[in-house]
Amino acid sequence: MNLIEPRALVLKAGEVFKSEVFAIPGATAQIALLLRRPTTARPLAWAKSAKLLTRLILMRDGVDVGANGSSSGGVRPDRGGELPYSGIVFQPDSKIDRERRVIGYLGEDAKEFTLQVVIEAVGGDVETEFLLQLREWQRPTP
Amino acid sequence: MSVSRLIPRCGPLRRSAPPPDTTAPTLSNPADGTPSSDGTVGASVDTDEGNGTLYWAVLTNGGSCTDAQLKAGSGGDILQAGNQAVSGAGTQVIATITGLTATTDYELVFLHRDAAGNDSAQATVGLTTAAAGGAVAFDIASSGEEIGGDGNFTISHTSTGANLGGFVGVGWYTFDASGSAGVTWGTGTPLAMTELWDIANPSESSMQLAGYRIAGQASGAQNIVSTLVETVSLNRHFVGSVSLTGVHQTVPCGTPNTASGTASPATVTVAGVVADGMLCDALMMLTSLGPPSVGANQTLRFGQDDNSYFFRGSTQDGADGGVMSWPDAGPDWWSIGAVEFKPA
Repeated sequence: MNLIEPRALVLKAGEVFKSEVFAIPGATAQIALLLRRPTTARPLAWAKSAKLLTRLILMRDGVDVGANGSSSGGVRPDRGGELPYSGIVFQPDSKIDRERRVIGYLGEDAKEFTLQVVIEAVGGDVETEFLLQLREWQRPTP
Repeated sequence: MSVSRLIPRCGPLRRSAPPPDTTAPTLSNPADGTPSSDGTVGASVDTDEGNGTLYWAVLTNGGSCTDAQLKAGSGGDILQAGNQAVSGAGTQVIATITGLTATTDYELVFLHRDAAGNDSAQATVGLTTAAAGGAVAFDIASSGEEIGGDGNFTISHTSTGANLGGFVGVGWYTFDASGSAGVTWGTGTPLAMTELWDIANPSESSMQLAGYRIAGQASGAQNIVSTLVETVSLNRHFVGSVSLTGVHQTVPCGTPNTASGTASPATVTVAGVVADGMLCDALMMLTSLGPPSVGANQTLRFGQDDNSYFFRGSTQDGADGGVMSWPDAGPDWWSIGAVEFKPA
C-alpha cells in the first residue's frame, strides 16, 4: 500500500522535507521510498552535482531501526536505457522458516512502531516526485 | 736520556673483542590471552632483549618439560609447541592456539633464547579453555536495496544472544566495474567487517558480489553500512545481513568459496564443514526468467528483487554438507559466495 501517494517535491539546496510520523503495522515486511530521476524523455531540475539524502526513520520503542542512503542527480544509464528512479528499499529484521513462513519480525510486540521519511537536498536544488510504499508479512493461519 | 727511552715500547693498537654476551633474557608477565573453547588468541610474554627466538608450548595441566624439549617442540608433557623470531624487546604475542579441548586446564610455557645462545628461565601461565557452545544457530536477518544511489547505504540490524557472529552479503550492478570499499557493523564506533570475497561476474562484469563476516558484535540495534568504490554510475546496491549465535569468537569462519556461471543451478561448495557449524551464502543473479528457488537444505534469510535482478541469502546447517544451490529457469548470469561459521 502507498503511505504517501506519488507527489511532487522541490527542495532548494539545504532544505529538508520531513513527512508526518506514521504509525505502521507491527507486521511491516518492507518499506520502499522511490524518487523519480531525470531522464532524457522526462528531464527534471536535478543536476548531477545535487544530492538527496534519504532517511527512513523507523522507531521501535524509542530506538531508530531504519535505513538511509543518498542519490545524486543527472541522467544515469541503466541496462538498455536510463534509470527512471532512485530510492531505498528496506526489509527490517525478520525470521523465516524453511517453508518460507515468517515466524518473527521486528515490529512484533512493539509498543511504538512508527515511520517518518526525511529527504534533504545538498549541493544543489532538486526537483523530483516521490512515493512511500509499505508491504506487510502474511502470517500463516494457525 | 731521551724522552723516547722513557716510553715503553708498544705494539700496534689492537681493537679488543667485546666481552661475550653471557646475560640471559628475562621473561615476565606471561599471559594466556583470550581463551576460546579450543584454544586461545593473543597469548603473550614480555622480554627485555630484542633478538633471538621465543619458544612456547602447551603442556598438560601441572605438566613440565625441559628447556631442550621446549626448544625441540616435543617431549615431556608438551601437547603442541611453536616458536617465533624476536625482533624487539617488549611484549611478544604468539600465534593463535587451536585444537585444545573445551573446559580444560593447561599450562602455557615460554622460553627466550637470545642471539648469543643464552636461555631465559621458563615463564609459565595457566590456560583454561572456555565451554563449548553447541551448534551455531540463526538469530535474525535484515536486508535492503539502494537504487540509483551513491554507494553508501545503511540498514539497521537487531541481534540478540551469546557468542554472536554476523554475515553480510553485498551485491551491486554498475557500469564502472569497481569493487566494494568495505562494510562496518555497529553504532557509535562501528567495527570494520572482514572481507571474505569481492568478485565481478566473469560473463557480466557489471554484476558484482562481496561477502563479509564479523564476530563479537554488540547485541541490540546496530547499523550496517556498505560503501562501494563506485558512486557515479551505480544502478543497484543490495545488502543482506544475518546474525548468528554460538559462533566461535576467535576463529569464526572456515575458508569461503565463490562461483559464477550462466547455467542453472547457481551452486558453490564449502569444504571442511563441521556438523555444528552453519553456512551463510549470498547470491546475485540477473535473469529475465523469474526468481531462483532456494536449495532443498537451505533456508531463505533475505531476498531483494528489482526487475531482472535477484539478490538472495540463505543459511544451511553444517550437518547438511556445505553445498549451497539455487535452481532457476536459466540461462542467466549468477555469482555466489558462501562461508561456514564455526561453533563456539
